[in-house]
Amino acid sequence: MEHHHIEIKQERFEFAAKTKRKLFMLLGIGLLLVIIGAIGEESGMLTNRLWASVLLGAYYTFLLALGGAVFIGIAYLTNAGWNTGFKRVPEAMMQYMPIAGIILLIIFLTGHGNLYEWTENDAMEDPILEGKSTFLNTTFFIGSSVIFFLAYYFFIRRLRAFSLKEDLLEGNDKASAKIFHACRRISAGFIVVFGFTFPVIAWQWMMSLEPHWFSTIYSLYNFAIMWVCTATTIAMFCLWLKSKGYLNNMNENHFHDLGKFMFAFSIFWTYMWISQYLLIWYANIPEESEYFTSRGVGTAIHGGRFEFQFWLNLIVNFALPLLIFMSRSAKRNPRTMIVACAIILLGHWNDLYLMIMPGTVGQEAPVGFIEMGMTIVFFVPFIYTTLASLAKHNLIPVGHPYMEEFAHHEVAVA
Amino acid sequence: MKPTKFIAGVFDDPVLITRAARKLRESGVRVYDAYTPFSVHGLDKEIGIKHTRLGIAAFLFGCTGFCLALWMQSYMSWSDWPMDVGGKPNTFVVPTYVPVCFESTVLCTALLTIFTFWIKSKMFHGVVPDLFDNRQTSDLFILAIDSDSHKNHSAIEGLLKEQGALEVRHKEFGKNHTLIQ
Repeated sequence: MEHHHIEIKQERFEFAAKTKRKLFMLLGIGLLLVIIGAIGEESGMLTNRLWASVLLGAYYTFLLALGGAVFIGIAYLTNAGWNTGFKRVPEAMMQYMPIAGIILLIIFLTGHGNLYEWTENDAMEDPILEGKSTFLNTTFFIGSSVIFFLAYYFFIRRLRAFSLKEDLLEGNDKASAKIFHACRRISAGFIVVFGFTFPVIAWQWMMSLEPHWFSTIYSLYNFAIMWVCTATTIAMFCLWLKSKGYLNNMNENHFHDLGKFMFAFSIFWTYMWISQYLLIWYANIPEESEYFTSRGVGTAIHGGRFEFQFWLNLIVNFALPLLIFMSRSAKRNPRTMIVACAIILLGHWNDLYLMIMPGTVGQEAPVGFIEMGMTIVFFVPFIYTTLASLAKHNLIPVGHPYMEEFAHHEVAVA
Repeated sequence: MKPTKFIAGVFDDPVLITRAARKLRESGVRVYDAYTPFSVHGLDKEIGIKHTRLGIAAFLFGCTGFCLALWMQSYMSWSDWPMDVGGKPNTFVVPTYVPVCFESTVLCTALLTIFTFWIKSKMFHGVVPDLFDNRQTSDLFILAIDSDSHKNHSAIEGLLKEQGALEVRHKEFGKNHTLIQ
């Protein structure tokens, strides 16, 4: 009730040479793992595994980068103040979006033969793919992806530019309110564009890996993965920054809210997962249930290669976050937070693995050094870009109208 | 034994009662509870009230509801009278159980938690609550201190007055009073 004054100071993140060295070492380890994994692998299988794991890493980092932008957009639209102080973190994450987009396009242009069987389709052979060819054709795929990525990039640039402008306006309430409203308008545009285009991206890049199969909830499922992983990654970056002595206005209350996001959207993810599974299970139409039988569920190939991972998915992405994050104190404790973050990110790696591998590598797909190493190889540039763009500008948006609210944010005991 | 005799500081300002609660606790007085017309932010911390364990109860109720539904469905459609639904395998079919389990979890948690809350806070139909002042539900803020466990009554009174209490009252309730912590 009483007004406590909390000082809001500008901070500047320094991307230390030591951190850079560690990241390069990590990249080296990733490459080494890929090479070790590749030794002795039969060549046809090797190409498939390499392409599939490249797609996994690229799509995962793409989701995180785009997720940063969505996080900012939704924060503006909902008038949220609890995330203002660390909003430079998702902002830095979204700087990777154009790079991730280019990487994805290069993967499609060079590796589509190994990943997307519909690109090799001979029209006479497969009437189903022929029927879908209005949507599933290379020209439309590349054209729409380029347009979508450019649109995202346009919004991301605007949001970033306005946010940086705010730093110069500390104390000038009128000017910063103007920028805030401009950001709200941009966010509104962005979220609408995102909402209509992201499903198409999910269909094209992920669902068309198994082109005979379709599921109407699939894009929402992808969105759930994006959102929960984005919140988790933001929490991880913030925890790391805090451990280095940055983000002084951020405290357990803000982590509590991030934890709530992770908790809620882990459950949302499960909701999407079970909805997809349940409807396909009930209807039992061969062209739909094929997706699950090829993942080792169902009587046809009971005990298949992916069965363990399939159920592990539910435990790691639903049961564990549910139980860990249920209590208030767990969300406020940095140690449980970091463990839960790691669990969720690894869990959704497994989730993406199950989405990609059965359709590309097939029933013999292993979880080997190639898959793990390749993910590291793709995560290092993402982390590097994020930290580099954090270091480039001020860490605290002192001119943001909600900075004061952020500093005083408190999650009451209720 | 729950206390029956109280010293009550009567305030008309949420800021004053919050400050008074802090001052009392700083000088070693244990505040029994505060009664306010609306929830005063920060007051819960200042009177040092313990975190409710209702959440743990709710979790257990949820588990009960989940297990009940799981047992009910598997008993009815699998073990007691095996159902043939479109020729699907009839074993312990988890996916079909999910919606009912979910609903039952929510129902049990919600109902049992609210019943527990009512019982614990003695909110039954027809019970006349014990109040320090009728206006504590409209515009007065009351800070209650258990007077049996403190000896320095005059000091407490002085402190309350000093912190802006309109008046300080001594109030005694019957053994079965409805005040709970």
